Amino acid sequence: MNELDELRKLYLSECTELLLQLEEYLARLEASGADADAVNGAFRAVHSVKGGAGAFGYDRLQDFAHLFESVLGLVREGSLAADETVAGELLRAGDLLADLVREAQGMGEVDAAREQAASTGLNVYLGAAAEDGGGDCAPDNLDDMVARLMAASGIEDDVPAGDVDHGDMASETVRAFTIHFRPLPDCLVHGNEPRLLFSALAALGEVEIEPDLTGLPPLDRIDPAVCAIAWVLRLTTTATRQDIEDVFAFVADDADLTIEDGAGGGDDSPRGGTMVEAIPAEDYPSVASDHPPPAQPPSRSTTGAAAGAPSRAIPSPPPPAITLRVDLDRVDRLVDLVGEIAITQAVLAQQSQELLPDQHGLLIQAVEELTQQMRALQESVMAIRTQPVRAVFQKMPRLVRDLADKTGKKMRLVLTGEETEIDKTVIERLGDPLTHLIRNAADHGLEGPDERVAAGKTAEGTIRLAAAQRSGRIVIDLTDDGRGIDLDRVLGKAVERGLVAAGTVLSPEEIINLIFAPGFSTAESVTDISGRGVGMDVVRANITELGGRISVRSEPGQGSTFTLALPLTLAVMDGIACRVGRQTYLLPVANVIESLQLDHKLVRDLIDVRRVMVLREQSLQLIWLRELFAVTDGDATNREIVVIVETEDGLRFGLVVDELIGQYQVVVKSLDRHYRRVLGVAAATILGDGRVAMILDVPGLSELDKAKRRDRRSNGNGARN
Amino acid sequence: MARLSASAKQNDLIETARPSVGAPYLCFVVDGRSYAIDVQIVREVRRWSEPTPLPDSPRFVRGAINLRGTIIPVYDLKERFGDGPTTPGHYHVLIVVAHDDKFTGLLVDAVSDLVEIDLLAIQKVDEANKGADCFVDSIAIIDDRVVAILGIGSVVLP
Repeated sequence: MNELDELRKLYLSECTELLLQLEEYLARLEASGADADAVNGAFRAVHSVKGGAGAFGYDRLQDFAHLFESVLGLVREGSLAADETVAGELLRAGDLLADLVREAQGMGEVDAAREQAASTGLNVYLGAAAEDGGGDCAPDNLDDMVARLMAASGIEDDVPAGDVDHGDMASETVRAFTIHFRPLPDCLVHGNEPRLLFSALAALGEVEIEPDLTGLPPLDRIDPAVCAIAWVLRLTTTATRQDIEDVFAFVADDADLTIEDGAGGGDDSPRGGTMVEAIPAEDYPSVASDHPPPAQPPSRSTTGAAAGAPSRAIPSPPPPAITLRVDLDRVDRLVDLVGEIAITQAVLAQQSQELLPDQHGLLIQAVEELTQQMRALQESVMAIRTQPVRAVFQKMPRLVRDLADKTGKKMRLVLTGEETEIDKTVIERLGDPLTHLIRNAADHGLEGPDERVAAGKTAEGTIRLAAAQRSGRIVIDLTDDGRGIDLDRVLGKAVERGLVAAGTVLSPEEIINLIFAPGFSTAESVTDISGRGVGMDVVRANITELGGRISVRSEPGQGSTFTLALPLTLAVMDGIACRVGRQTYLLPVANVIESLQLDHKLVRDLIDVRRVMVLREQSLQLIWLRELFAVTDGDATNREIVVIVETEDGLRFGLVVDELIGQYQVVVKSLDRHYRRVLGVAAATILGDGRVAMILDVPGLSELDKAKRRDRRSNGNGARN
Repeated sequence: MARLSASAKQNDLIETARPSVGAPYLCFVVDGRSYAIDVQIVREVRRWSEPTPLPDSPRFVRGAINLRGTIIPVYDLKERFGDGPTTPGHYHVLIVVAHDDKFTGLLVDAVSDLVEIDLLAIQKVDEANKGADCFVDSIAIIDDRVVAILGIGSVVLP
C-alpha cells in the first residue's frame, strides 16, 4: 500500500467518526432548534468530510458535502431557521452523506435518484436564500450560485473576506496563483509528505515548483526530521482557491500557507522574504536540543492567515479530550497479558501466605501492595476496552426514520443512557440484535396513526431505547407503546408451526417466550422490514453468545418491553466456584438461584432415569456433576450441595456438587481457540495456583445430561433384547 | 545435532558426499517405540504436569493445561495410538506442537534427540497399507533404528 492509500484509509476512518459527530449535532438541532454549538459542530463535520473528499477525488461526496455545508452555513448565519422541516431535511442529508461515505469506503452504492432527491431538497433553501438576498440575476449553475452565496455571506471560514472577490469562484476561468508553502518544524514528523501534496496540486493544473532554502540551518545543525525547506508554487488552473486549500487541508496545522492571486511574487517576492525572516533558524530544533519545537512558532500569526487561523465566525470548540487510535488487537494482547500477570500475582499471594511474617515481613507487605496495584491495573486495562453504548445507539435514529418512511407509521425514538459504558466487543455485536428488535417494534409493535388515535393514543408511536448499569450488568430496555404481544396469536402460530401440541395449556409467560423458539417467525408478509428470515431465536442466540439474557414483558394495548441484560465485559466474569473430586468448576453467577444441602431422603428416581428432589412442593430435576463429567477422583462426600441453576429459557434444575467454595471474579479464557467447543463448558479460566478450571455452561449441562440418559436407556434396552 | 543420512530402501547406511538436503526432526519415545516429528511444528518441550480433565472428550484427551495464559489440550499419545493410557511420572514430557494455528500438548515418555533426516531417505507409507488409525505418515531409518514420522494432521483432532 502506498502513502496515498494510507492517507485515504485514515481519511475514511476519520469520516466514520465525523459522521457520528454530525448525527449527534443534527439530532441536537432537531431537538432544540437554534443551537449555535450544534450548527457549528455539524458545519465543521461536513466541512472536514468535504475537504478530504476533494483531496482524494470522491467527487459525488465532495459535491454533496459542499451543498450540505452551504445550507448549514445559511442556518449558521441565521438566514434559515432550523425549524422541524429544515431539521428533517438536514437529517436526511446526513443519512445520504453517510451513505456516500460508505460508498467511498467501498461498501454499497448510493442510488442516484436518492442523491438527486436529497440535493433537490437542499437546493430549495439555497434558492430561497438567494432570492431573499436580492441576487441580481438568477443562478445559472449550482457552483456559481453556491459560490456567490458563500462569498456574500462569508461562510467560507478559511478565507478572509477581503481576499474573496466574486470572480474568484467562477468555475471555468483559468487563473494563476502563487502559493507560499512553509512546513512547520513538526510537519514531517506528523507524517506529511510534501511530494504528495505537490502531485495533488499538479492534478489541478500546471504547477511550477521552486524551493526556498533560506530557512536552511548550517550543515552541522541540520536535523533530518525537520523540514527546513519552504516552497513557492506557481499554479495555473481553472480550480478555485478553495480547491487549492482542500489540497493542503491535511497540513493546515503543520505548515504556514499563503495563497496569492496572480503569478507575481517570484524570487524577489517581499512576502517570501519576510516569511524567511519570520522563522529564524533558531526556531528549528538543533541536533543538540532535546526539546520538541514549540507547537506554534511566533511567526505563525504573521503569515498563517489563510489555512492556520481559526475562523472568526465559528467559536472555537472546547478542546476535545485527547484520544489515541490503537489497534484493538494490541489492546487485547494487553488485556491478556494483564490477565496472566494477575494469575502469577495470585500464585505469589497464595505462596506468601505460608511465609513467616517475622522473617519475610517486607516480602509479604510487597505482595499485598502488588495485589492492590494489580486490581487497579486490571480495572484500567478493562476501561480501555469499554465504550459508551452511544456508538451503537447512534445508528438507530436513522433506522427509525427509514422505518417510518417504509411503514407509513409515525414514530419517534427516544434514547437514554447513551453514556453507559460497555465492552467494545459487546457493542460491536449488539448492533444486529438491536436493529432487529427495533424493526420488530416498528413493524409489529406500533400501530398505524389511525388505529392509535382510535385507541386513544397519540398518532405518533414512541420507541424508547434505554441503557443503564444495574448490579454489575448492563441492562438495555427497548420499549414501544404499541399494541403489545397478542398471546392468542402467538400460541396459535406456535401450534400451526408444530412448536407446541394443540390443546397444551401454557402460562402467559411460557406463551410469550415462544417468540424466541427456533422456527417461530412472525410476519413474513412484510418481508422488507422484519421478515428477513431472521427470527427472535437468532436475536436470543446473539445475546446469549455475549453472555447476556433477553426477556420480554408485554401489556395488551400498552406495548412491549424487551430487556437485554449484558455482562460489562467479556474478559472477566463473576463465578461461583464449586468442587467435585479434585477439580474446581465455576458457575456463572447469573445462572445461580440458590444452594442448599442435599437431603437424600427427598430424592426420588423416575422411570426415565431422571432423579428429582421435592422442594417447596415442586419437583426439581437433579444432575450429579460427578456422574455427568465421569469424575473418578476424590471421594463423594455425604454432605453434597445442590446448586439450583436456571437457564435463559427459564429451565431450572439442581446441580449436585461436593462442595461450594465461594464467589470469584475470573478471567475468561477460550477453550475452542486451541481445542474445540465442549458440551457443558462455556470457557475455561486459570486459578490462583496456575491450574485450569472449567467455566460451566448451564444449558449445555442439561443437554449433556439428556444425551447421556438417552445413551443409557438405549444401552439398557440393548441389553434386555 | 547428529547429521545422519538414512535410507529406507536398504538397511545399510549410505554415506553421501553431496551436500545434505535434510530437514531436522525431533525424535521421541512412546511406549518403547521411536517416533519423529518435523521440528518446525514443535513450539516447546515442557515438564509434565497433571492437566484439568476436559468433559465430553475422547479418552486420549487427558485434559487442558495453562500455557502462559493460553488454554491448550493435552493428548496422551499412547492412548491415541490405541495402546491404553500412560501412567505419567517425573520423566514424562509434553511436546507442544502447532497445527492449523492451534497448539496441542503431546504426552510422550521422553524426547531422545534431534536428527537431520535426508529428505530422499524418507519413504511415504503407502496409502493402501494405511489403516484407518494409522498416524505414521512416513518411515526413515537412521543408523540402525527405524523411525516412524508422525503426520500431525491425523493425530490432532480437527
